[in-house]
Amino acid sequence: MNRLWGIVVVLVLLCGIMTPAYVQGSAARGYVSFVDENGVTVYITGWESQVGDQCITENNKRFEVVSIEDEVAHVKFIGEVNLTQYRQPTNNIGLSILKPRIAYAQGPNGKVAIYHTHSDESYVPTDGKESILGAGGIYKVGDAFASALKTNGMEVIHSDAKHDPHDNMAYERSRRTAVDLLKQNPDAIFDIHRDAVPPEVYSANINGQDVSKVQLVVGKYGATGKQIEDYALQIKAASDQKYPGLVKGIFFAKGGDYNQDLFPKSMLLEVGAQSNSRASAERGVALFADIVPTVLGKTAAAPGNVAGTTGLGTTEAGPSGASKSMGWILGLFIVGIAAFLFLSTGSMKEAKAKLKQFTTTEFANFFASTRKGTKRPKKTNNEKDKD
Amino acid sequence: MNMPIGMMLLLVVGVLVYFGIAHRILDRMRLTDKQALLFIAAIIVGSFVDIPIMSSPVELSINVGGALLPAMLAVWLIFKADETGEKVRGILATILVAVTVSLGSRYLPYEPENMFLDPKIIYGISAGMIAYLAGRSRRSAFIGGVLGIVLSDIIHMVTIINLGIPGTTDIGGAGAFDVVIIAGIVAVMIAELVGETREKLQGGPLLGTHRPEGLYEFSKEISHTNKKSKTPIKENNSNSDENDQKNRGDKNE
Repeated sequence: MNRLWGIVVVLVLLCGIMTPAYVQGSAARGYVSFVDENGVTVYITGWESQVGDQCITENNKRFEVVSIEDEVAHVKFIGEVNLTQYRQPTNNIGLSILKPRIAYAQGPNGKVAIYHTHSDESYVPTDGKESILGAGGIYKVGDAFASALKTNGMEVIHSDAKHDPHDNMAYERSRRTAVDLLKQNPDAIFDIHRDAVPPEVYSANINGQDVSKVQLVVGKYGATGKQIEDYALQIKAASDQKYPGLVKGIFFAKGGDYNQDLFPKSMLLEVGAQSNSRASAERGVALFADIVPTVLGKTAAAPGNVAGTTGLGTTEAGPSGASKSMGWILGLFIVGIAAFLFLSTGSMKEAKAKLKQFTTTEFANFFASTRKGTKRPKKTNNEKDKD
Repeated sequence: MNMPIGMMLLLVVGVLVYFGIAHRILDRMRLTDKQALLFIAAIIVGSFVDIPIMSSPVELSINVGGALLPAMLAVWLIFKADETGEKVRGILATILVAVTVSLGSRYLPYEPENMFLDPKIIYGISAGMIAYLAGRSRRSAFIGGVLGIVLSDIIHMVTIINLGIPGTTDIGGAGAFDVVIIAGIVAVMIAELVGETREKLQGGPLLGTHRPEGLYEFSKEISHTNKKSKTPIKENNSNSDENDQKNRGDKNE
């Protein structure tokens, strides 16, 4: 009987996890259109999305996917995003005095790390194929980004680590590269990809140059998602000011954290699609490099908007993404503890007693000689068995 | 690093909660509180040490904090298991998790736009459930999560060598934040959650007089020890308190 219950519970949980997997699958046309309530296509992305995913379009309108039919994702309009609050502040002498000295130790223009999770991604018109395992055209786009950043006076670490094959574990392999790069203390870290849609979705002409646009991808799954969202909005605000139309939009994917949980200034960029030429992608990412110093607060003497979007928040704008993320982490932590206590003990009285036992005796081991009157109950054999 | 206060606090809170949970999990792996804390310190320091194993045909290295230490703990747990059955279950969980990860990585969605759950969590959950089905044990969940991912990395390496794809395999390369450790932690949490939920569905642990003998009851235990400990402290001088603590220390060892 016990085993039967166990199997039922596990099957129910497994079904919950596996069901979305069957809903997935590569679209036959190769991409998905986001269609709003009026039947207008507002956004196009390369792969099937999920209900709950969101996007911010080039015109700063926010939509959420409510249902998906074949290659059409029906979206609802959530609202317009006011990007002005995400712009970098002008020079402020008061704040520049408060800026920690360590910031200067890395040189005035900062350090940027670049890597590529999907090492095979390539551009058909230039590279001939859309996927070249271990040597994708995406590395050349990374090189173009790196040299443009260097022109702007920034220090660049461009990793050539390979993470093929292009599978579900690729982000876990590139996580190791990301941590390796973070050990070198960069100011920002970018994971460069390309999308998979028709060429017109990413084609643009900016300042007389034919370029491929850039899409920002934010992993909403991780607890730090809110913080990364703020960062993405800052990037779009800076880009819209300098090169309107360069950032195609922001995609909020709820399925993963894409290693953005490791560092608050992490961003996933999709530069053009497989159908665009690599040269146009290289030009697009080079323009994008011009806004990086602004985003990192390297052009003004003041660090970026200390009290507002990157700090703890302001009374007018509400809490910042970082504060919201902290709230999520602590909230989930407390709810998790409460749920565990309730499940494992069986009654509120027992749960309270267990919590008291934990707070009074668990740390007695560390502070035994300084705390009087707290007595650690001896672990019984039965309790050890339970472990 | 030029970082505003909000981001710094977020990093600090995130790291504290993460290592706090890791500590509670390690505490259940035949380690005392102090040993678990030392182990976490060793993982953090070890995160900065990569041991190269080979450089051709693909680069292979292992990170001390992210893979070597947790794998050693898992292997030690297998050796220390009381019954042969428990050892077999630990090894079985490892193999099943490695197979799940290898198949899952091939067939589950892999683009940012269509992933439905973070791979770290998927494989942690798989490890927890497999270990629960195999032996209802937190320890085999940890073993399955940690060694399963390490084994899946070795499978990945063999795959790319066979296919002739250039690449690197840095087992546990993300150190304390590697999928090896996260899968181990999530696996234990899932085994615990499934186990406790099932127990709860069955009516929960009995309370009161019908409670099975030896099943730990916290409220009773606390009231019992409180009554006992208060009396001698009030009546006796500090010497007896010191003796008391010495005895307690012996018991804890």
